[in-house]
Amino acid sequence: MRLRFYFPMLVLGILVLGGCIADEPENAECDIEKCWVHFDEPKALFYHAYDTLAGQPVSIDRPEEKVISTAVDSIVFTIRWDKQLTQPVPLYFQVTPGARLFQIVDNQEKPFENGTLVDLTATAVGENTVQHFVVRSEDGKWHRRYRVYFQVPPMPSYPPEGFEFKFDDFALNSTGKYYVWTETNPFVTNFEWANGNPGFNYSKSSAKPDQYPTVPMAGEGVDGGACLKLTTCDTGGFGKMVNMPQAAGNMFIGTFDLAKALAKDGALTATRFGFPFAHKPLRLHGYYKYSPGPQKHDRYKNPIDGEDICDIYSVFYRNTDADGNQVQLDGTNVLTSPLVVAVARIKSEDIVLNTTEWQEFDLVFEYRDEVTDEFIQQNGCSFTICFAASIEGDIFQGAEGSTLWIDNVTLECEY
Amino acid sequence: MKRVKLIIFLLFVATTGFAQTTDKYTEWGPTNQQTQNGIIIRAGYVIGGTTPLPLPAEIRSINEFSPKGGFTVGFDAYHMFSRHWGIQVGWHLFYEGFHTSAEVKNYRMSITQNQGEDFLEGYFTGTDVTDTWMLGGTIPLTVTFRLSPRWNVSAGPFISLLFDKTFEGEVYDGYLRKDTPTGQKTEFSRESKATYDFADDMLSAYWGAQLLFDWKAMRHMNVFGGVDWACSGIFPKRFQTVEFKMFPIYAKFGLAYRY
Repeated sequence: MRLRFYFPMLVLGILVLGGCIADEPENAECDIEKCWVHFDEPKALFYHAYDTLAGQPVSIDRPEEKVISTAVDSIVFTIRWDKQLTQPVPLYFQVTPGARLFQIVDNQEKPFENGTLVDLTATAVGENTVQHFVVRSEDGKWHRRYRVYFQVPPMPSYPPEGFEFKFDDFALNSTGKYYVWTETNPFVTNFEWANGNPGFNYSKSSAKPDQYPTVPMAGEGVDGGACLKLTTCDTGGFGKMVNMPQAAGNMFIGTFDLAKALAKDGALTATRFGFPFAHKPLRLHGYYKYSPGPQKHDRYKNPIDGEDICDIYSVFYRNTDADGNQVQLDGTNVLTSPLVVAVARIKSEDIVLNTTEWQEFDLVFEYRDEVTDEFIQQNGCSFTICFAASIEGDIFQGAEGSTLWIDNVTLECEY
Repeated sequence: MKRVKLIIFLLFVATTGFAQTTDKYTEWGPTNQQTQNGIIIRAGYVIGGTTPLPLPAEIRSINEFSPKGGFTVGFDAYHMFSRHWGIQVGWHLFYEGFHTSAEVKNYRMSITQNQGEDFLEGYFTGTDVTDTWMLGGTIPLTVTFRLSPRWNVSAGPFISLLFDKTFEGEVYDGYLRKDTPTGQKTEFSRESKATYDFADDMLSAYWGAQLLFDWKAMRHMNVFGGVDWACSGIFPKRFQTVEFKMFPIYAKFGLAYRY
């Protein structure tokens, strides 16, 4: 009988802590997660059937699934350079569960139903119809705006002097925290230069733009213009917490997927390399200066023996797997995938250390695989270049202070 | 839970086997002289947690809850003014805490580093694990009402002082939307857990209300049970990281020796 008094107290404790779960709050997120168009014969308009799905493959494990990164607010479909889209197309979206999607028509938000025919006319480079959409969250408190359009790329053409990359076009990102680069070479329209700066911003929000691993150096380039300065930096307490205590300055053609920056494989899957490229690369030439930092550390900040060294490489690879899925190689397989066609990479022993003079590098593409010119011209391959201040920076190993300067990179192709 | 069962069993034995003393209001103390004033030495088990009340909707489920530490020793001095009414004041040392793992949705959080210069904040959806314990002392000042020759109930305010404390945890198996629910998404894996430690942000004192039942089991022995329900949060108002007020709420029960 007396026990009655004690049981309620135990029960009270359990109730207070576990029993009174409130009703599930409505979703606050409002993303377009997936977006696709339907064509009976996609290859009549696109290079690949998967180009009817916007976004990027979720991961190497799920190549057939493509998602829109939460970092983007433009959804772009790229068609063949010699085709036009003149008819409205049925457009489909997948948004955050519970969120509502509206198309903006004459400044009015009109609920959008999947499969509606939408005018996305694209007839020439820069001649296209952009449609605007807004997604409103289930809880009604948040919204995101998106632009959706088709684009016609310019006809691929090869400049006789090769493709030049001078890194002169940089600006602060939208939040003014770090630098971003745009490629303005008119011959390479779909290349984006990416780096780990967004990840560094995550770990060290107090850093000034010129304290980031990847920064421009105006007036210090080979030609008197700007050049790149890539530095291996300490990522602060937060980086240490997640066993990513240092970030190697890097720069590559591709995208940096912040969503994966802390995922299972570390940042390896965050660096997504390359874009389709319809030219056959032969040589990569450019200028560098390199000085390694004083002490190498592993990802747990333990000192390790040996001198740090930088890395410069370029990879040409098949961008479709055996099942017809899109492939964008990442840090786990960019040099090792069986889809790699050709690699040009600097030899560590050839790197001149601690010089104040610009050094030249001249790397020849070594072909591992035969691909036909027609295959390349049908956008069957993707291309990337990568510079890193620490060769093992991808596994967060390197010496703080290692600095790699890069300028005037030229890519020579067969056509 | 084994420990809890053992204690319930002991209580059962105590309440059935040894309830032999004479039931008179005036004979609460071991001798007639000590009826009005006395000292009670207590030792007991504490179970509970530090929790927002009510649980916010952002907490979707509790995967795991286990008490940590969980004991109290102390004494109370009492004085009875009349047959039914008296006051009691005490000093109870305690060591109490818990470990919990919860699934959260759109849970506002922030992590600061480098003396607050570097911060990361946003809305987290995934698993949040919290470990906390507190070592301290409670000073209760309660009004006692003698229900029967064997039953005492006392209630009143208390203040707890903390000598040492932790409040730490980690988030993983989920993702953070930076700054707002529309911000960039970053996945947190089990391999890259983000950890937090708010021990230094905790206040070193809190107050609340105590409710305590005493049952006279033997001539010198009481069985007691009650709850210390904090009314002030353990984090100061200026501490914005944890969005909710967190209240330590601990039940305790045990045996007491009366002088």
